Amino acid sequence: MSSLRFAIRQIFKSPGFSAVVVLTLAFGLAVNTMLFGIASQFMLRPMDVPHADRVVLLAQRSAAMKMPHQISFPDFRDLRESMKTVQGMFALLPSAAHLSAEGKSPERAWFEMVTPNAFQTFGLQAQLGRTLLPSDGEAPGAPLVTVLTDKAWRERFGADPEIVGRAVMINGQPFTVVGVMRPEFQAFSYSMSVAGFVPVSASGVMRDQGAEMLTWRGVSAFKVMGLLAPGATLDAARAEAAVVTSRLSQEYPDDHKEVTSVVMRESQARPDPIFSDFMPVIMALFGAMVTLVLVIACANVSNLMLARTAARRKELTVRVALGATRWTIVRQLLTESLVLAAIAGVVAWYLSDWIGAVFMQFAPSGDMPARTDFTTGWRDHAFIIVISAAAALGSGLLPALRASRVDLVDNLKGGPGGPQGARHHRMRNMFVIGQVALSLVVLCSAGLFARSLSRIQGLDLGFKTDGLLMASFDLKLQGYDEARAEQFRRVLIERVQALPGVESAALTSTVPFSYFIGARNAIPENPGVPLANDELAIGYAQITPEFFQTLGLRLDRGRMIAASDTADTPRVAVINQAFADAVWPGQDAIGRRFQPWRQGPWIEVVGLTPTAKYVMVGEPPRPYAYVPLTQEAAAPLTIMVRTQGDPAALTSSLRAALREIDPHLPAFEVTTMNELMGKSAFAFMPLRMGSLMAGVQGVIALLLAIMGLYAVVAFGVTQRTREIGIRMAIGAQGGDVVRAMLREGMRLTLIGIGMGLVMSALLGLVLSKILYGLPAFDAPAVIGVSALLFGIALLACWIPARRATQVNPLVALRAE
Amino acid sequence: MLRLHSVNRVYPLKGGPFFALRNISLEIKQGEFVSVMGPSGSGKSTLLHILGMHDSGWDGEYWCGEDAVHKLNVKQRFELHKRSFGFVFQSYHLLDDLTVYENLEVPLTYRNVPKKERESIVCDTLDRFHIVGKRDLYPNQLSGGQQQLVGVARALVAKPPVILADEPTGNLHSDQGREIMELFKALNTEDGVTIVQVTHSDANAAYGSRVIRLADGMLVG
Ligand SMILES: Nc1ncnc2c1ncn2[C@@H]1O[C@H](COP(=O)(O)OP(=O)(O)OP(=O)(O)O)[C@@H](O)[C@H]1O
Ligand SMILES: [Mg+2]
Repeated sequence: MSSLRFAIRQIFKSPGFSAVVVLTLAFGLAVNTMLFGIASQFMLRPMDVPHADRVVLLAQRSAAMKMPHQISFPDFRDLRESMKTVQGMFALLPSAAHLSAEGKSPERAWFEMVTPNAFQTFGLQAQLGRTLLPSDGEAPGAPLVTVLTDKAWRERFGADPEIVGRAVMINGQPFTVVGVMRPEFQAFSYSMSVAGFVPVSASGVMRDQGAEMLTWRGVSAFKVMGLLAPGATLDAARAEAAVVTSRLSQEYPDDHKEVTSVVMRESQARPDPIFSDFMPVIMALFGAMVTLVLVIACANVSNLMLARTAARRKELTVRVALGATRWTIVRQLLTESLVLAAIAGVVAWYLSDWIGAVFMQFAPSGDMPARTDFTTGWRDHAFIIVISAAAALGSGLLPALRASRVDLVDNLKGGPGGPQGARHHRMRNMFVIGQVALSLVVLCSAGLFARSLSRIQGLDLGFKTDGLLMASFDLKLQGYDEARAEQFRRVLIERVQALPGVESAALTSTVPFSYFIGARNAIPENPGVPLANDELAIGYAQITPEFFQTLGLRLDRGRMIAASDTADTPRVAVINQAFADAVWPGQDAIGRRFQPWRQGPWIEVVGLTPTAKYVMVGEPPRPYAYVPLTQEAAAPLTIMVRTQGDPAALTSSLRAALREIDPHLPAFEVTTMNELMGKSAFAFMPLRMGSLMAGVQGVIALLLAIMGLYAVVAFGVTQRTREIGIRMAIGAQGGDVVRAMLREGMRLTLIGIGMGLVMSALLGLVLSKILYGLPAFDAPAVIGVSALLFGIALLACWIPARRATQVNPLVALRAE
Repeated sequence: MLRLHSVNRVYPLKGGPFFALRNISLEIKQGEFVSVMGPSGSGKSTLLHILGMHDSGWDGEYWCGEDAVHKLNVKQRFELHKRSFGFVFQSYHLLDDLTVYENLEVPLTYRNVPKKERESIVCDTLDRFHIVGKRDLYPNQLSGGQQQLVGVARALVAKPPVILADEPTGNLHSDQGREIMELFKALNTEDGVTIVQVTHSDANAAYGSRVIRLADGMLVG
């Protein structure tokens, strides 16, 4: 206990040193805590259900999609019937819907369509009424029932205690509420938070062709989960699933091209099994990155402590002379490290929240409701305690061991460190050089990202992104028939175009750079080149005539989609140059025909537009076709509005216009094009994220490098106090001494910068291959960063070096 | 040459001000060889550091030649210090990482002596102190007496008119001590260097021309 008290006194004796140590460690600990928090939420925390450790997810790989994906409903049924190793197997499919209490306006909400046995499998209880039961059925025609989540019940129905037995409207159909779930259960998909659950028997109401979907083997749409049977292993389940799947492949070869089964633990399939192949890689990469940060932080603190124990050598020598054992001294110094690391751990705990908030702004804010109720649990506390202790050892052990190896004779004689000291210096110097180089590299890439971001934002995408506002809505879910929908669309365009500040407005089924691609496999007539399967993968959008004008797309030849193209006139399309080049190279595409899918209607090409960017900034020319919305209905739709001024300013009038026509129609994803592109993983998000991450990492690296340099110079000054004293006694001036002390730090800085320049040139080369629009080398960024680094390094060295002038030769020379 | 008038050196301690030196007035003429003696803690080193201008926390008057030290600012004092004094320490205080040659060169670099000139001065000095053979050795490769020889050489290399020595023989055998004292004597008589040394030994004091005695920070004769 007394050693603890002494440790605390030592820490308060040099508050500056302690603060620097605490902050350095806290930083390293905070990024680790944050990442661990994310990992533990997404990967480690079990679902809130009994037997969570036995929950498995079944998926398939196929020729069309190599990554693990969902399973068709008939396949699911066969798997459920045949497999013994997985019990209580159930299927689910999230669906957007329009939900309203009777007599109220509907709101857009997400439901999970499930086979009702799911609730039994997970042993779930309702807080009101009941859960879904197998008797609610899996075949169309069963009574329409729903179970709400606690969240939806509170937020949308005012926690009405009488709700069970009442009807709510889902997509315009009355569903009887049979129960409300407990608050802790938010969805069968771990990372989602839905409004409620409906049995798959209601799929006809939930989706277009939903009832048919239950019978199609080719539509792999359902997420399949179950419990490992007691005593069954994962491997056994895999083997059994493989057997059943190969049987299915033989029975239905057309729908099972190269299909293999996948069985994994539920926790490994988050947020979606499709990521399960590379999620561990990403986590490992991130993990390595943040561990490196912590290691560097520890090494820096280690250096600082070495500097300090060197200054305390006399105290320690005397202790040894008085009979302290090596262990006593190690324990004393380690206690100090532990106390410092504990304080750092507390600081890190709060810091990590803040870092987490910064990163959250990049979370894709889609239409699907993600689970947000993440709380910190015992794992996070245990983690920070463990890594804080590790950091204490990592940063304190070496200095403590070295300091405890007191050579009485040497120290009392006041001799120099000897060869051991020299070796340590070399190591430390290499370390500092590495840090300077590293921070230069990372800062340079941050600069690269930032500069290419500004360059790419000025890139010609084929349409104008400024001044574009949009809002999406789904008439089909709202129960519109085609005649009413047609009417709605016409009135909407008229109203919005009449709004002050609006130049034009158009409807489209596919928004550029959104996650919905509108992909089709078109079958062109008489292609000029052979095509695989006679097909061409194209992007596809159903639009109104004003679309080209509104987005600022150009027309090269032929004509635009016109108001005269209606359901009663022949089908037409405007295609892009990439489409024409891929199918009819060197020929006139106007007048040619294609089918949008096999056995689909023939569509005549009437216009040709230059190839733009549709999905990703860096995509190769993508074949694309626009067809009139009047000839092929679509839902949901998005209204795109070209505004004169700031598009965001028109948001409320756009919403009002929608409400005026149908007060009950929910609108979603009301946003500007620039906002959308900023968040889109396909547009600027990778570069934005890259520049932020590289920027943050760079600043961390820079901070660490500064600490390292500071430690080197500070260590030098304390070690060389006597020497400085002598020099001043024989005529050295302040400037002479500071320069001598600076020299070492700046030498390391310059070597580090040199190495960093070489490394960042190499990294730039690699990055420019991966990320579109990233130049390999950017002179202003590199020069700017180098100059900045040099300046900061100079300061970091100068501050401790300046202390040398405060050495009083009187005091320095008396100490012997 | 050096003249103190009513100089006090006070350390403000917890229990009240502590007078390390009290009302010291003395004069040291050019070419004198003065020994400062007194019991431990009497203020000998303190006096030497005031004379050598390492310490500036005193009050009173201090004339160094024509210069009123008490009126000079830090920079001027520093220049005067560089011009006037060479220091010899009890524990030599050579720079461990530098060779004998380099140790001798250091004071000259601080006085902006050009490289060529430095070389000839250092070589002359090595010659004069008969340590040419040791020029490339490091301090820890020398005996105590040899180290102190280098210490004296270093104090002299910039040709200061005054040498201040704080127990220069304190760490040496009597033989080696005698050698250093002979050297001081020679410097004093042959080169006219003014020497102020602190010593505990009457034998050493006998080399000098005058003794200043201190007790409890006061001059006692
Ligand atoms: N920084 C200081 N603070 C307080 N008192 C001090 C300080 N430096 C010296 N003293 C006191 O001044 C007095 C004179 O010290 P000084 O070093 O001059 O003694 P000295 O005569 O050289 O002794 P010795 O022969 O042991 O070297 C001592 O009592 C010492 O305690
Ligand atoms: Mg003394």
